[in-house]
Amino acid sequence: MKLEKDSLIISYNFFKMMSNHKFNIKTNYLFYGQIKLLFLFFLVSFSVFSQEKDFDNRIDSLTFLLNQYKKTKQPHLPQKAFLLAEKIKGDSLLKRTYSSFAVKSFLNKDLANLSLSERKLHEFYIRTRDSSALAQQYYCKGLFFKVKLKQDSAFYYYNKSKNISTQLKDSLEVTKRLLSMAAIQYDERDYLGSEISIIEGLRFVEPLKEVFYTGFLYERLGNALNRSGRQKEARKKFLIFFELQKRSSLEKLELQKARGYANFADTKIKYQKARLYNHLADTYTSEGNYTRALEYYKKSLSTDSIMLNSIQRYEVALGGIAFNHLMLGNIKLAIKEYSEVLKSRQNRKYERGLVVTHSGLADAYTANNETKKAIFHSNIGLEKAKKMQYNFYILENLLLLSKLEKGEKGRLLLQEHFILSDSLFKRERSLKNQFANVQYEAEKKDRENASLKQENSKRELELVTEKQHKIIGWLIAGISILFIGFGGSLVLSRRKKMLFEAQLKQVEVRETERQQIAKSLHDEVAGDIRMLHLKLSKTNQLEDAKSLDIINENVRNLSHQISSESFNEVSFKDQIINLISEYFEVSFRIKVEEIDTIEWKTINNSIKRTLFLTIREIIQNAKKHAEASVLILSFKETKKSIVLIISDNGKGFEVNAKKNGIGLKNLKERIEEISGVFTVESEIEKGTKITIEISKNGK
Amino acid sequence: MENKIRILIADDHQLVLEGFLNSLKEVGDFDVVTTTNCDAAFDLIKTHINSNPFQLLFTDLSFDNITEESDLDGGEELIKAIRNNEFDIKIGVITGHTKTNRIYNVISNLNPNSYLLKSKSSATEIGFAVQKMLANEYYYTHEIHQKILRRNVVQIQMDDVAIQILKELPNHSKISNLEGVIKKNNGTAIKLRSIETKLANLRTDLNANNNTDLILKVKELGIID
Repeated sequence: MKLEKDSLIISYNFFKMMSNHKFNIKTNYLFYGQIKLLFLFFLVSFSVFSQEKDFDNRIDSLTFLLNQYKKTKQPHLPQKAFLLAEKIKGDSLLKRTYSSFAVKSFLNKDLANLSLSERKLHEFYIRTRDSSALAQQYYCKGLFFKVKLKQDSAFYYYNKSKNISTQLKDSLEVTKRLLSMAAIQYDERDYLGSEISIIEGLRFVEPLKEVFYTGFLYERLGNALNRSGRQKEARKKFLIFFELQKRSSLEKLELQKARGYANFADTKIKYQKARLYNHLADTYTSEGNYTRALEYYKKSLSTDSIMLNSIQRYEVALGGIAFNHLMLGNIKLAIKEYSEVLKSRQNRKYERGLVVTHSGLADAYTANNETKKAIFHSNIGLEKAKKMQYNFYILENLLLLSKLEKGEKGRLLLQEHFILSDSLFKRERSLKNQFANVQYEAEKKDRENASLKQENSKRELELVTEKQHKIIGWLIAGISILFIGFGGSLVLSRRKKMLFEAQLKQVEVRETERQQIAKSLHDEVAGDIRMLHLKLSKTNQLEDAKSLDIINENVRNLSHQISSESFNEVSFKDQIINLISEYFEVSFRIKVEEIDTIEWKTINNSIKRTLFLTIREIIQNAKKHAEASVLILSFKETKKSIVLIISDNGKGFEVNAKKNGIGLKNLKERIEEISGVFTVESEIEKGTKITIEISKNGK
Repeated sequence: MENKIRILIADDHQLVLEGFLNSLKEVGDFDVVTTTNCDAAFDLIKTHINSNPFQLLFTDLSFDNITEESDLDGGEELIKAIRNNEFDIKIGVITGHTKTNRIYNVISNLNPNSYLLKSKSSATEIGFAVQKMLANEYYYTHEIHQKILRRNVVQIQMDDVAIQILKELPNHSKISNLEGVIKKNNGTAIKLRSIETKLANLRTDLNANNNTDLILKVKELGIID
């Protein structure tokens, strides 16, 4: 009897939840439509305005169809809506349409359309592989079994749906499913299971800062706590629930105000307060504090126009008062109040409520010793309870009837009661186990997944370390290769340097040889010639002596040419100046540029000597052959080499012609001896440009 | 004999020595000693430095009779040895070497009082050189002089700062106006004092009496246009 209220609450909750779902869908449609409209407006030109309008119309007609279906329960409406939605071709719109009609079908207990929605969602999932559609599909299946009163199957599919949403990290969907699951568990008196589901739901919904479903979770939690004898805690939860409901209503109000709707939400808050009072009263009833319970129920009942606007709450409050009056021995009042509730519920054809009220009345009449009336009401209660498998009241009424009926009939009823009670007890237990099992399996799977994941990550880690090892290996290999390469190049460069030094030494040796030849030319040949000259002049052969003089001069010049200078005492710059002075004339001007940019002291003597001799040769050539009037020596030092560019404005020559003679060839050879590069560019009548590049250290 | 100027002549060629002796006899009364060997020349100077020293030394630069045992292997070495011992003796070079390099090296390193060329010298020139040397002046024969000048020209030509000064000089009435106009390669201005030093060196190098003369000579030599 005291369960009357919570059963009412349960059904109310469900209704409320669903209608809210609908509301969400509706607003989503509006929002979606607006976005789409805006989008289209920007995208398409004015010429397709009609199309745009068409789209808008379709959305509108979908909303219209949904409302129509809710009101009229015409079974062809979902099909129509689906066809329309499929024409619009918006996947998320389509999914929403299926889901929202599925929920409506459930509320209308329209099994055909519920399975149609489920099938549509399945097809949608197959086509798009959108897992959220699969979650919705399972949810539909759960709803389907719910209608068929197969609580365990419904629970199973809710759980499946929940698990997918968990994977999708869609916390709100998870929360909704857990709320439904907790409701089933509550109905099946698995209060602990219900509590667990709710706590899980709260964990999911918490980060979302959502108030609406959170509120329902707290209400359900309050109910579960109340049933399991923790009334004080339950009251706390109910207060939280009320606060959340208030906030939710206020939020809605804000939204409505913003949209310019009439404000009807604020009036709702007072009915929610009535609901809170009902809940609180219920907890006091459970505690046996009937007077306190009565106070709260009366508070709830005194809410103005509650009968008109919130009939369920009115019924609950009045039923509660009746029950408490009964408990306090005020039987007449109880009967009167129960009768009033009965009338109201009969008007509404609220079967579940009727079961409760009839059973209550039966109790009241029993207490009043009006056995006939008691049997009458008890029988109706039993019949209705059996129709909807409202087991609690089946048992209650069977027990009551067995007491009221005399003799064999009473005994049979008592037997029926015991058998049912026994089977129900077993079923309850098995269901509890089943719920636990279903969740356990899921958790096990989760754990397996987790361990698999762990294993995977472990393997990945291994792979990564392996990869790292490999990389390290390659790095080491690379470094060693580099090292070897570096060493090789070092050896090579050293070898090169050694070679270069050897070349320089060779040059020096050659130079000494040259000097020796020059010396012997000067000393011996010239000496001999001089002696001859002396003799000839003594013998008055002056003609011969003259020609001998010329020979002598030539030999001397030759020896001078061959011999080179000492580079140790005089700076290279002075040497060059001296050299240039030798050939300088107003009609043959030699300019030296940037000679000071080179740190000549650091340059190897062989290089300097070679440069000196080369310059001398080139100057001679320019003066003798090129008939140049200006010759420019331009020095440049780079990090590794000395560059000398010698250009004249002479008549030039054919660089590739073979007759260029040994002069140029010798120059080239001389430079190449010390690993230098010697290039000649020449243009007839324009001049010649010779570029010499000598590396400073042989690299 | 005590008051006669003592002259030492070192040359490896007997013929030259004889010619030199004859030339000297033509221009004055000198006490002349000859030698064909650098070491001997040095010893002679050294042994006579306190009693009856030589006032003048004429020496060739290259000696053909140099052997492995010779301490001094040429005229440069001989002059260097004398300079190192700070013997008070005027040194003249008489040689056949006309290469600027040799001339420059000898003149800039050894600073002889005269530089004569065997092929060009006459008795008169030798006499003139002796007079100059005794008066502690310098005498370079014309050809050597030309070579030195030419070398100076080349050097000046390479000197950006010198060229700048020479180009700017005719545009300014006073030297002090040049300050700030003449700049180094790196753009910094050169101080007046440095400019004046440079000008002085230029005048010396080109034998110019004054700046106007210098500019004329520079133009004549084609250093600037």
